[in-house]
Amino acid sequence: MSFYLDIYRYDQATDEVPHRDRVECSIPPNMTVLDALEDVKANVDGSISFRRSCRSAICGSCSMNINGTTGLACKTPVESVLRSDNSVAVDPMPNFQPMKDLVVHMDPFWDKYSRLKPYLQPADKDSDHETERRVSPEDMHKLVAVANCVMCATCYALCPVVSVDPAFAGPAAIAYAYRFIEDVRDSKRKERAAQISDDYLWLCAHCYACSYCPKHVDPQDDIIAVKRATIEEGLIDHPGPRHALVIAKTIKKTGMLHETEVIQGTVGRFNIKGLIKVAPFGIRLALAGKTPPLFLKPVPKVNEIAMIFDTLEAPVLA
Amino acid sequence: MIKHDIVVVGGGLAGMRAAVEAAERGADVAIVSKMHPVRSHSGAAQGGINAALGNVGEDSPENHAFDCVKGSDYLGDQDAIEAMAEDAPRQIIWLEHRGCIFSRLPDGRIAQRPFGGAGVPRTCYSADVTGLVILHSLWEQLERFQVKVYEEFFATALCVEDGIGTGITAYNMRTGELELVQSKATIFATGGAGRVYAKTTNGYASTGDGMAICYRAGVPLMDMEFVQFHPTSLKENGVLLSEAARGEGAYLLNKDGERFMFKYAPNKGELASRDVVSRAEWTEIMEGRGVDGCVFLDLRHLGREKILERLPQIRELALDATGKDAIDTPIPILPGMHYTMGGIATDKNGATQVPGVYAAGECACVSVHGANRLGGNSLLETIVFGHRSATHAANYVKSIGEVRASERTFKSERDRLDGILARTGGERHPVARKAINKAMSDYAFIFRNESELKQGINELQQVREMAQTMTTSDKSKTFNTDLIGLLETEFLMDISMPMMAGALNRTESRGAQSRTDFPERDDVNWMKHTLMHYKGATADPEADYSRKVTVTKFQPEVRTY
Amino acid sequence: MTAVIEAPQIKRQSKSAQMRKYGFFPGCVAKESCKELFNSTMLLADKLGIELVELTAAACCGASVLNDTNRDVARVLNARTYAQAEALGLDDVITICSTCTGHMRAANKELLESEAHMGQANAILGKFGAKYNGGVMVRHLLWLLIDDIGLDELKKMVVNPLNGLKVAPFYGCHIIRPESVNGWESSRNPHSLEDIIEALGGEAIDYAGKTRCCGFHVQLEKDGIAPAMVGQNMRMAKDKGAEAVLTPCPLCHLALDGYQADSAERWGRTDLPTFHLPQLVGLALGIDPSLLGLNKHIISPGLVLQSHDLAPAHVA
Repeated sequence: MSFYLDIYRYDQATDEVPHRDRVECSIPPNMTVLDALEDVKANVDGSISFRRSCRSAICGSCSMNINGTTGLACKTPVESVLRSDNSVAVDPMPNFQPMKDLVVHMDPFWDKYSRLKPYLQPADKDSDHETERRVSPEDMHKLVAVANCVMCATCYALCPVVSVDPAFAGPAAIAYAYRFIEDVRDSKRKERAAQISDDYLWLCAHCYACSYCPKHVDPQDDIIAVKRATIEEGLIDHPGPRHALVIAKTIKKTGMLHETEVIQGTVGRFNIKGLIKVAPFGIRLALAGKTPPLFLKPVPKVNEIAMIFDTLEAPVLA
Repeated sequence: MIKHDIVVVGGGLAGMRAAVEAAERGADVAIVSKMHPVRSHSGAAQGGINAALGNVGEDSPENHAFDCVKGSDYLGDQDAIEAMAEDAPRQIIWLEHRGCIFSRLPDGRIAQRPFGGAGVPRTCYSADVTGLVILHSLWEQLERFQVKVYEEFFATALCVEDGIGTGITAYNMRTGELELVQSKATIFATGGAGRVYAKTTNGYASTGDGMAICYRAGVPLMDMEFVQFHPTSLKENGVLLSEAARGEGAYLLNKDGERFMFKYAPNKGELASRDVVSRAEWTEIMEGRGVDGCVFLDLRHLGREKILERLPQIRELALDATGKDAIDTPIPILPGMHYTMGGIATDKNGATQVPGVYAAGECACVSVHGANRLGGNSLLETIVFGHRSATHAANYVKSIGEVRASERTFKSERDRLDGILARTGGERHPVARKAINKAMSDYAFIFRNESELKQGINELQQVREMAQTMTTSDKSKTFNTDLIGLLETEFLMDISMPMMAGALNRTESRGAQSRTDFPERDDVNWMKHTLMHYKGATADPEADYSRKVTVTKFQPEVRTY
Repeated sequence: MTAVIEAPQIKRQSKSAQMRKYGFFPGCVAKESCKELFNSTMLLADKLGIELVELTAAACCGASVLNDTNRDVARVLNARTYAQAEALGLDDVITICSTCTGHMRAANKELLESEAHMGQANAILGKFGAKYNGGVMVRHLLWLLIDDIGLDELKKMVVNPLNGLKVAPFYGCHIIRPESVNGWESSRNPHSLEDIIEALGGEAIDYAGKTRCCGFHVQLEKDGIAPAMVGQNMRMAKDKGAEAVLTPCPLCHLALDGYQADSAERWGRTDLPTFHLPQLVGLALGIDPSLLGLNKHIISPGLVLQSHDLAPAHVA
């Protein structure tokens, strides 16, 4: 069976702009997009360039944009992405600068990891332990999902926050911060929480684009866990945690998220500069008749809600 | 010019372990790798890493050593094996102390599972992604010690001046520029050469780079005829399903639903050593008791929970490749090329016969695996010999002065590469690659005989002719993967001949070498290693049998499982 | 950790659907800054002949961020909501906000899949005499329109067709992702909103940003972040010819409606009015436009409504 690969072509050394090549391929459709690329490279055009190695989704090399969405080429059967015109579009991952065809500059991604100090920092010395440090299976199990991360950068490529603000740490790095924050052998929980908060942890918009992780790492769950950890460590003096805590506060008090109080609580009630910044949006809302009420009547039986918060010791903004 | 005291070529487990050790000893060390370290094929290792920790049953390094010696079919050098078994527990603990995510026993100690050819469960593991977690731990340590990595630099040649190693030449894949990398010590950790066969568990990058580079520069290769065919690889794509499955209790079945392994290995059954199992499977298949060229790996009786907990990766690999869920149905598998017992000849410190040149990991042959490697010992060898070679190299570099930068090697390599890029009219390199693969797969598979091996040599000689003029389509200076592919094909060409010739010369069956015309092991004539010396790009290798096997404690016995 | 994602069973017919009487959780924003969404929903329900019983004692779903503070509180608050629905004999709770949909479904999934979680919730609910028996399903009004009313029926009810109005769907992350929680349609390429737009006589615009994030939850975290996220999506829609946007989420509505003015600097002007789902459906089904709160938009839909003969400009 014959189909076409519609491939992005570019060489940073020689090309002003990219172009596309349409290349015919005849491998069985149950084979993968990577197999197709290898086939056309061997038989049609040897200059098509892409990274790959293991072809079994463990090395993380072959992440690329296939028909508009990023994934591992070696884990994508051609028949699952064949378009109605019998072609598959292949492009470099978004959120990265292209180097050559499907190969991108990965340095900013690796840099996010380096900033974490991504190595174990125990409180005691290794030499204090003649054998292994003991860790219960339950404690070790918490790290299993993120241990499967192959650093393919699919999540980073799909992240809409990274696409508008490359200073954001990105899902993979935050999940790796989680790996150490949850490792009972590590002693730098607060420092790590502080570091990742500074790298804009709270810019994560909870959109779950990273749930497309091809290795089921589910970084979105780890990111939320890291946010909880930063609140537990008392690192609440900036908009992100204040936002979550003030929402908690209004829910506990009234049963509802009270928009007016949430805006004030997030920005900071006495943060004049911050409040001035949100003023234009507030004025637009007012002109459209959308101003949220200043006071909110609690829902019936709101005492039950307060009881739930108290029983679970769920924190609210002070 | 790039200059460091120690340069490690290859960023997998052995390379990173060596670099971290050297860095911790205060040496000026750098890694040169053709990919980012975490992309290394070490990460694909699944089942586990052996050490006589004794966490699950009584164990000792001596027991471990014996199992290795027997597993090697008595071709392994016993002093090196003893050293590895002795070092193992310390190295595993070192990994754990650095944060490695091992699966645990209820009391919090490192868990150990049974594996092929092991008398006692001694394979430490992390579900079925052990290679990956160790890879991460070592990469974390690289970050900790801020080890410099020349990423996507492709090593092309070893520099030898005045009889000592003085570094390498490396091609910067991003800029297309060749660099001279001067070093007092060079440690090769470039992995295996699976891509010499058509079907292999190895990734695309396993092209025997370090082996060929050392070989061309005058370092002999050893025991190249010993190639391990892993019993459980997927037919569709050659991908590995770990021995850990059998370690956790999975069965091997033929088309009649029979656990056939007990015919061939009455005691160990599925957990006999790999060469025994692969031979058994291939026999079953050839004698008509397979289905579509495969037998079956059956995990069903392990139950959903255990499979998801201990073997989730292989379940997903089988599902992706075959559409079959191992929880509900047996998976068709067959033997596939997996590991090269042979490699760059070293001593038990990773030192080659050329001062300043070391090798560690799969690319080396110490020999600790002899004629067959036990599962779980490859991950171990990377860590042990990464550590040992770096320790030795760190001392060595303190003892010598400046080395001579090899401008002549740099010039000849640059001319060679320019010449390759300028070639026209020859075959595209994938044609040569395919021909090498065909010769190896057709004539040097599990069961070998003289006439087929001779045919194989003949075919390789013809390919060798063709390979002298092979071309690349891509002439770009930016990330020229076509050129890299050609250079890798040249490496595979060089090492395929010692593999085939060694198999022809060795008129016995031992471990993974099975000669149907010489079915018995011959301890009288063949307790020796095969050394192969490079004689030039178009010449046959010269065989050398001067290196005898070192026997210390364990005299060769009949080997049954 | 399962290798294969198993989508939850959600296409069973609920008792509520049979009775045409559903539990209704409007969410907080529909009662505060976006009252037009609540009002148009009630009018649409009336038009469709279904009864929406508001769960007035219910608490906020958690709004995505409550999990950032504590791992259990959102789950238990939602368990309380489901217990209230059950007590009213309702097994189907309808939401009108993507965020509510995703988070209530996630909470329900956790309760249904873990005895420990259900036990914890009921232990606390028991303190005030409530109990959740696991019999509630949470769905968005969008799914009700397609599954319970049906596109064909909807088409028949159209009296004020959209006359080819080019509408870009904007799903809102939480109604489609993660698939393990929602799974009602493909998250990579959903088409329910497009189907509705077409059924109402409009032209659905396909663009890559339809499933991307609007940035609402992080608008206060860093200057310019929400306008940037809004801008990159609206630019794509505009370039494909969109004249308006349709969204099932009031938080997305606020972001898209409110931040296009700020995104103009980097992304160029887009000025796309953003309809709530019940507004556009209600309009096409003949509800008096002046009752649909079309004048409660920052970017007025007046011009597009007038130019397509859907309503006089002054209602917006």
